[in-house]
Amino acid sequence: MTPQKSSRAKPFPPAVSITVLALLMLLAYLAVAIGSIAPIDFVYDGI
Amino acid sequence: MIGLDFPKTTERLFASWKPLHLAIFSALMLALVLIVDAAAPRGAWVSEAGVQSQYGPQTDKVLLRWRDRQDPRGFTTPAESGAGDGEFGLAWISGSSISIRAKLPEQKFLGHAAYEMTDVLAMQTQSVDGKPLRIHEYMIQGARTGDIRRATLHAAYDPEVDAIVISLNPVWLFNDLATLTESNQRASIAGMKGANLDDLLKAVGYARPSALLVAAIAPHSHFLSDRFPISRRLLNRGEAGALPFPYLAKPEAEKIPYFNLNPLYKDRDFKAPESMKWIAGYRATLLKQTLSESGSSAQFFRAMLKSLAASGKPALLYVAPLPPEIEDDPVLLAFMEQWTAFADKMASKYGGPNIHLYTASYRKVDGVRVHKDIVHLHYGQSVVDEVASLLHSELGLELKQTGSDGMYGEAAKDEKE
Repeated sequence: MTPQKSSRAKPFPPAVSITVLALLMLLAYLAVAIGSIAPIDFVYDGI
Repeated sequence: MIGLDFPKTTERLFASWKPLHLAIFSALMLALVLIVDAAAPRGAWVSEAGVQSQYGPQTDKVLLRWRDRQDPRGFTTPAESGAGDGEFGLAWISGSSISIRAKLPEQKFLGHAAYEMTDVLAMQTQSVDGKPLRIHEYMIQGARTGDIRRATLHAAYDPEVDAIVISLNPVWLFNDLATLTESNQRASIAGMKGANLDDLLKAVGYARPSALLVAAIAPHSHFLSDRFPISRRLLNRGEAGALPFPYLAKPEAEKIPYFNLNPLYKDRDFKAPESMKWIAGYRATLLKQTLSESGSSAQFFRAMLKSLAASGKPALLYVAPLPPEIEDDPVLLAFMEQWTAFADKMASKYGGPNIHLYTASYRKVDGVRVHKDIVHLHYGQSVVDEVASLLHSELGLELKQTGSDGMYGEAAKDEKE
């Protein structure tokens, strides 16, 4: 087994990562809230 | 770069985070959520969306409290209801058993073929205990016991409601084949005033955790609470019209197989006598009820009784009458004897002195009524009269009423229209 090379890429500054994650979470929040309205077809002459 | 190599991306994004960064992120998230909430649209179109349309006479004596089944808000709030001070608020909670669909011209009420018993009681009652009557109609189409439980909880905590009438459906009250109707409102109990631990424990059995979490937070957030009208308007590009989703077409829906469950109920006789054959399907469904406190519907009924007792509001629970043909059906009558005994036992165990359960109405309602099927009617003045009479005899309310003279038939017209 060949040992995997570990990536040593330079980390982003926390300000960038915080912004990225916050925007993603906000998008998820909006999608879950709005997407939770499932259409329901249920009509039988009002009774 | 940030990419699909998630371990690498995660390391670049978060390797340098310290607890302080986590705290900053949480604060930022909270601020964003609060900004969304503050920016969420408000206005009449938000509160009016999803309110049911009136079938019968357009009268402001009847307030429709249930919203469209797609709207997670469930019921209108006391502020949205339009009720005022100085009136007597009577909540009438029911499934479709209070809906009348006239077949003959003489069965029409004030010219309407489709109307509710609430309309009839409202038009024939001037006052209750000296105050003008306002009926809060909690009519949920296709209601099952779990839905009636939510409506009961809502009415029990609504300050505009002074007394409560509940129509118990003899086919569905203790039926565990269906305990909730299809809706986006099932989880809403998690955010309702007065919901108890039993309700929440039960709710995890029928609602998604995410739905329960959103429902629990929704009463504190405009955006979450009003997400139905907001999403509808977004999807329709500004218009508050119908949802642009493809529905399951009716012929497709009819292809869903329904299995014959009768053989599973070995001690029940599903062979309907001749006079009951026209409602044999409903009769079989009625006989499949679970008369045990471990039954899911019975647990909803128990929760209803407990919150009614806790509210202290006078409450009348009556059973919607079955057709007169049941007198030819000893099997059904014997079952209904057990049914009423079980309901009475539960009411005495979990109810309070303010709750009056009247089970005899399943077979003893004097006067004419015309059945459309097992609980739905073409004409039902006698049931409204019975309820009015029980409001007086059981709850001690003083109703000032006019008779039904001139209100039925083709010639009778609604003066307001």
